[in-house]
Amino acid sequence: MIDGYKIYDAHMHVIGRFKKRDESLPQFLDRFGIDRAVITSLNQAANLSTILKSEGNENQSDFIESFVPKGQYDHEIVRQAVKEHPDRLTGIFWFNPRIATEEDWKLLKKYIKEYDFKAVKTQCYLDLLEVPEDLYSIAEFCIEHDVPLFLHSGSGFFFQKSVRANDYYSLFKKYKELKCVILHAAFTMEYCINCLKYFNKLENIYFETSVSIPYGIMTLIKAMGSHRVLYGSDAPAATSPDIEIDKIRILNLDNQTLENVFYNNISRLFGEEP
Amino acid sequence: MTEGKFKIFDAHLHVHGIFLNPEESLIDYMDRHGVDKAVITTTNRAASSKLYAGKDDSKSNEEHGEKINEAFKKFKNMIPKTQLDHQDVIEISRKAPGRFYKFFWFNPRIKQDMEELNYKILEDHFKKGFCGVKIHSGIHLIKVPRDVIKLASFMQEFNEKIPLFIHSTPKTMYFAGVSTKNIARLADEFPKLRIIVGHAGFAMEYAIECGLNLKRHANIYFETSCSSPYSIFSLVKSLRGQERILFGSDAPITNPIQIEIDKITCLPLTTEQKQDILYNNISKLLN
Repeated sequence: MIDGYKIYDAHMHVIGRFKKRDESLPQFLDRFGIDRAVITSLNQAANLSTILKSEGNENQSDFIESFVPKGQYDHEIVRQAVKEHPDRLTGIFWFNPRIATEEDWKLLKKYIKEYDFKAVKTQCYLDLLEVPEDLYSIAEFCIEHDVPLFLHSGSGFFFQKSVRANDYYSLFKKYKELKCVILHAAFTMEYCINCLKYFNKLENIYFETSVSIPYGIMTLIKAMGSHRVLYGSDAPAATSPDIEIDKIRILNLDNQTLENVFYNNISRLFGEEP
Repeated sequence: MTEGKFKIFDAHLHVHGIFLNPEESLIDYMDRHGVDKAVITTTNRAASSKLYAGKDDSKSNEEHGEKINEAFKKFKNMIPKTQLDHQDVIEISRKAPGRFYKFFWFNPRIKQDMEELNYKILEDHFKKGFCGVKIHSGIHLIKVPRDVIKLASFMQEFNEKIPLFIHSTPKTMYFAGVSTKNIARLADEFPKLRIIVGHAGFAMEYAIECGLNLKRHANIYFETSCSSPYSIFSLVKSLRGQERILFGSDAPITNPIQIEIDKITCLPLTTEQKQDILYNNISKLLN
């Protein structure tokens, strides 16, 4: 709890550089006053040692291929953490639908049904997804199992078609019942403005704040309403949570808005009582 | 030097923005956050969230959506067709001349018959002590290097040391964006031009790109505002050193300064490395 507000972080990873080596996840949450967190796996191939191998040569698409796992990400550590701390952690499954086999779909279903994972995440760049085409199958899965789909935003690598808000809009038009969370929704002001343009009438679309520009977060809250914006940090992989929390604290928002953004919205999205 | 007592030289500050308290001057704001010096430019006041924001609960989503669509049309019309007025930059700098390094926010997409006039404006500002140029690829839809060749030539001819700050823009619905490959082509064409890549980290992929495509260009520098801490850290590692990383805040428009400072101080780097990023590197570049 911070300043009297409960904190439910909508975007965390099970490991990362900004967590101390000997620190458990609940200890990490305690250090920053975070009550609950959504956690998922991490693409550990996309790390600095891989980047450092490159000398900026021309064969970079092969280099990036080395980031891309040949199978699904292992979520065993996530499952164990959630099992040990169900009052603090909510699991979501980072899934790559492009390469999914029948066994992978069964595994995903198992995590949702048996291990109570609450959502699915996709990362279009590291997993080389074509948007919207590669997302149709996972969108149908999410609708069938009534779980939200978390979609990564970013700038994309030079050899990829950049995913724009209108690409995601094509997906939402096709699957109107799909509940989605746009991650890093204001990572640039340009992207934030694109979100306003395309998603303003789509009440099933939510906006997560990690790695976002504070001015963009404020714009999203004012334009979309405080019920559609979710605090997230992307910690401990990308940042330290206090920095991401401060981005919202400094916006001079009213109590109800802070309660919604910091806790209630993600809690309601998962059908929990805030 | 001790951790927590860093000298700060902000490589990306604006004269105005929502994170400045109404009663506070920019100099007071800098003092409050311990910022010693800053690169300063003007603000495009047309690009305000007030255009889109403010959901009226009495209106349906449909009506509110229409309001946002109207705002987009209005925004397009409000983008200045001429160069932005920099009198605000000049006036603030006069109050503390040793603390500010003035950059001119220039739109290089000018009709041919207006070029002479616009470059005369730029030249006049150089003569008034402006020591750098900023371009905003997202607002003025600038294609790099195509739309920047004349500007870069002009700057090099006037003074080879004048840096060009490029606002990074990913591909959007209305603009193809500026990629690191585009910037590399500009750097190849103008090997002496000092290029500052603004917002060089974003949400990680762009930082990886900068490391991959731009590290061989010694004339390219990387500014940190709006970047995630891990992106900044990965830039330091992939460039094999912090010497070309410049702390910037983009305050008080998009961020409050303190959050951007915290992104550097929280990194697993030495105190000396942090001090280079927070002050020394931009100081060396401009002096």
